[in-house]
Amino acid sequence: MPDSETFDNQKTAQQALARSEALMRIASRLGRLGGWEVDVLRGQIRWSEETRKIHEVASDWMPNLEQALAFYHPDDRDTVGSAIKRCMKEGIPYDLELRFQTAKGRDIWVRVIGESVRDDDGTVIALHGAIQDITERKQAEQGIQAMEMRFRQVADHMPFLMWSADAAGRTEFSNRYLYDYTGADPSLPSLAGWQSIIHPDDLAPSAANWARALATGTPYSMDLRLRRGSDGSYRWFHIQASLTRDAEGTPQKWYGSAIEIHQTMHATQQAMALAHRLKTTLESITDAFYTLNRDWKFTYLNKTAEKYLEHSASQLLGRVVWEEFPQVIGTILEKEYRLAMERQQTTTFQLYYEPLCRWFDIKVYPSNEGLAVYFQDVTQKREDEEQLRLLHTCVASMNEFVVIIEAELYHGGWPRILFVNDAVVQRTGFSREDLIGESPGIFHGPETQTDALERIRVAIEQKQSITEELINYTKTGETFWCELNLAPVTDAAGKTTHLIAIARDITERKLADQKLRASEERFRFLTQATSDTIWDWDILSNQVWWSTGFEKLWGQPLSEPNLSLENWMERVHPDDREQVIASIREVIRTGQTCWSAEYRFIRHDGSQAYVLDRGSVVRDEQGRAIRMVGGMTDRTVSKQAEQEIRRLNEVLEDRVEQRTAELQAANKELEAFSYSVSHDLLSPLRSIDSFSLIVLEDYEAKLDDEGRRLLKIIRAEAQRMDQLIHDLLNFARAGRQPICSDVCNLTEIAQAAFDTLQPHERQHIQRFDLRQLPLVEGDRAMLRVVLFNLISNAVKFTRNQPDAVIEVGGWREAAHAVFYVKDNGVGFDPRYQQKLFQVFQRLHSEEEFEGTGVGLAIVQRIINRHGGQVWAESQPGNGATLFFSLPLKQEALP
Amino acid sequence: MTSTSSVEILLVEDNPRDAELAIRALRKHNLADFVVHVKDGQEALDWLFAEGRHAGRNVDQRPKVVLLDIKLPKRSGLEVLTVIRIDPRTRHLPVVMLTSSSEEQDIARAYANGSNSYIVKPVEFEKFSKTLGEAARYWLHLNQSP
Repeated sequence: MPDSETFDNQKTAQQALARSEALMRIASRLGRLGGWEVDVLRGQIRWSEETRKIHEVASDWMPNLEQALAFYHPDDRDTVGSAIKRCMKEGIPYDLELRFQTAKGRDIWVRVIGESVRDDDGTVIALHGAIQDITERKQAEQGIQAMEMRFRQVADHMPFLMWSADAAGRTEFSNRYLYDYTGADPSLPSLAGWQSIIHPDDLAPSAANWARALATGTPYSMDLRLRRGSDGSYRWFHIQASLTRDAEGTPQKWYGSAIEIHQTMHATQQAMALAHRLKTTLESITDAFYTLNRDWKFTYLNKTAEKYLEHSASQLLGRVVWEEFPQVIGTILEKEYRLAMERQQTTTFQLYYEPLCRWFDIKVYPSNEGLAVYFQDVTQKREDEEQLRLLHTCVASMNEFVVIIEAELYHGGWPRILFVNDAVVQRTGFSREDLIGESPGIFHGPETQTDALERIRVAIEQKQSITEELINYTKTGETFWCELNLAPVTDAAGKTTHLIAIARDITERKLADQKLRASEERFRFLTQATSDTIWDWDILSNQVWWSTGFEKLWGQPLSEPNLSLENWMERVHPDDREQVIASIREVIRTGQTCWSAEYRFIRHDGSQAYVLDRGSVVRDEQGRAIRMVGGMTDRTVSKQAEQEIRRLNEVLEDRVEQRTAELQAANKELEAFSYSVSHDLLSPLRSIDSFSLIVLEDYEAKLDDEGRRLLKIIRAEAQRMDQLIHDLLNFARAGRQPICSDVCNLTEIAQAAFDTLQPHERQHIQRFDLRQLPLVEGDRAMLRVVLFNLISNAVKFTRNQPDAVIEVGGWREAAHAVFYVKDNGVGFDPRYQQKLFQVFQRLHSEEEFEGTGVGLAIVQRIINRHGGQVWAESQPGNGATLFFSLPLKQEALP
Repeated sequence: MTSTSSVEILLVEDNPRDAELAIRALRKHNLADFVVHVKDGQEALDWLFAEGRHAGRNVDQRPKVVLLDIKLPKRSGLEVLTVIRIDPRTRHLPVVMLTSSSEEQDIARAYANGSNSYIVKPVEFEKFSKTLGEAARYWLHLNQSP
């Protein structure tokens, strides 16, 4: 580079200059370096040849300053202009690299250097300098820069940390990620001290790995945690680096990267932790749990499941449930599992698993993977529930009243009823709805004892048990006695939560108590009022208590009312004593209750009294006789009367027997008589009649009128006798035949009786007025005879009446029904009413009205045997009314 | 009327007057030609079964109807009836009981022992004749024995 001295010593240095100019030309051509000179005073510019080439102008082209400056890029013109001015005025040299456009319009880079040339006074007289085409270098430079820029940009945008280090491991480059992540100042060329951001736990392994990599040149790789600047938290990174070598194998640079793997790592760790926790949880739960995949294979089972299934996990995992447990096929379990799997429905059911004799509550949760089965042993729970149910049933069906009451006072100072059993509902007539939530006061009424209630109230307040006998009321206001036992129920903390009232109906016992008191009172009055001697023998103490009657019997006041049994025994007549004592012993020994004996009692004055002594044995629960209570009746007077009565009775009984025998014999005779009459008496009668007829028929011609009349009289008398015999037999039969009692419709019977009569017999009857008759019980055949006889009588005795009317009627009275048959016939004289019902008694002559006088006797006999009565009312010529009554209920009659 | 036997009616009656009357009544109805009269229960059985006094009689010749009095010497009418009903040869023989008795127990026993009819002999001959004649005619003419 020429300096100012060249111009200062032109003369002497001409040669040297020329030499140096020549060197410069060579150099400038080689280095495309042109020289220039500005004569400040003349304003002339001189360019070397090479400078013109750079400008791409002609070799004779002479520029001025302005023209020279125009070659520079507009943006750089001020820079070069001001540098030139400063150089001219102040002599400051410059060295600039500037954009430049050649005369041919080519854009190139040039380096321009300039310095001032001063005269002796120091005035700047000229500037000279050089211009060099540096486009090639500049372009090369720009290419590297651009590449580096691009690399940096890429590196800075990489979502991971990149770095490089020299062969010794010193960090040369880190991308922006590092600064963003660590929050370090990006102006720093590289991060100072990696150690400061590595997690303390990872520092040592990291350092060791790095040292080994450096020493051996092998790639470095590890996971470690780096601190994040924004929140100070450490996050996981995977760091790796490898060494580059040149052609000779000499280590050059380490290139490394660190990728954040925190999310992955965290997720993995969380997954692991979760899995661990899940496993622990599943293992530790007491309920059994297992999972099945869609092929029904076991994929998991916990310890409890192992226990219940009696198989270990290793035995079951991967096995098909139906093959391992074929016994469940066809059970509800298989059905529910398959349903859950098919429909993807959660299901819950209970199963009795026979091999274990236990009940399980099974919950099945389907998922895409298969089924999760969760089962719980509920045997105990079921048993508890069963027991609770049993207990509830027991309480509900107890005969005792059970009422459960809330301990907390609710209103009116009373607790509330929570539960009542059936016995309460049945006895009180209140429904459960009436009672639940009410005060127990609902059972109380005016007669309920207030003092007892007060004691109960106090007991409740003090949470104590209490037993009271209380008058309660039913819904309808009926009172009943309860023996009430009230007990508090406490919870685990000892706090009373409920009261249980258990009560028993003791109404009967109370009534019995009252009756006992009343009877004891009556007993006292009785012992005072009676002439009998009442005694009470306490067998255990052998003491006998006597009522005041004893003194009367004994004939002298007793010194003390209590005597021993021996004192009494002494007073029993020696002849009777042994038998009386034996009879008492017998009654006591054989467990009987009643004892009685008659014996002679020796009075104080030595006289004898006949005594009837009767006693009852009182026994304890074991049946042991503990007491005997009784009474002695002095029968001295009645005994004598009784003996007389007995004698008379005996005579009477003898007579009755005799008479009965006689009667029975008479009855038998009568029967035989009847039978005989039937057969034997009728036969000759038939002969008389029949042969009289034969005479009349066969010998008619030989008989005169008188003979025929007499034979006819014989026949008529024979026939009348036949009628008499028949009536007599009927009468006897009416007294003899047993009564067959039945319900009889007398209306029908009366009509039938009337209809039985021959039409010619009843043709004179204008009106047969049959009323509705009451139903009665009686012997139908016999009552038919009664009505037939009465109606045929009425028909007979109205025979001469032009407007004969017969009326049959009846009515009911309290115990009897009364019937009548009324006619308007001849009637009878009431004076003969008594004879009316006697056998063979007739109030009319045979010429007037035929008959045997047996009909009404039969009527009376039958009605009497039915427990009824017959009677008649009449006036001669005014008709007759015959009445009979029958009891509505037939007792067993003879 | 076929005549498998010459005897159509066996009359068992101890009382000769009653027997005469019965035969007279039958005659009135033109039924007396074929009547055999025996006088007690034993004879009735002997005749029916060709035993005793009647041994040698053709036992297969049976009457068409038996008129049997209840009250008979030796063996009563009811006894005779019982034997007739027990023996297979006479089991289906029509028997009409004749009696003066209208005692219910007699009637009941007669029917219980298998009598076909029961006739109470009335005192009046006209009635007796009519009743007996009708009964005999019924069993002779109308009733076809099995």
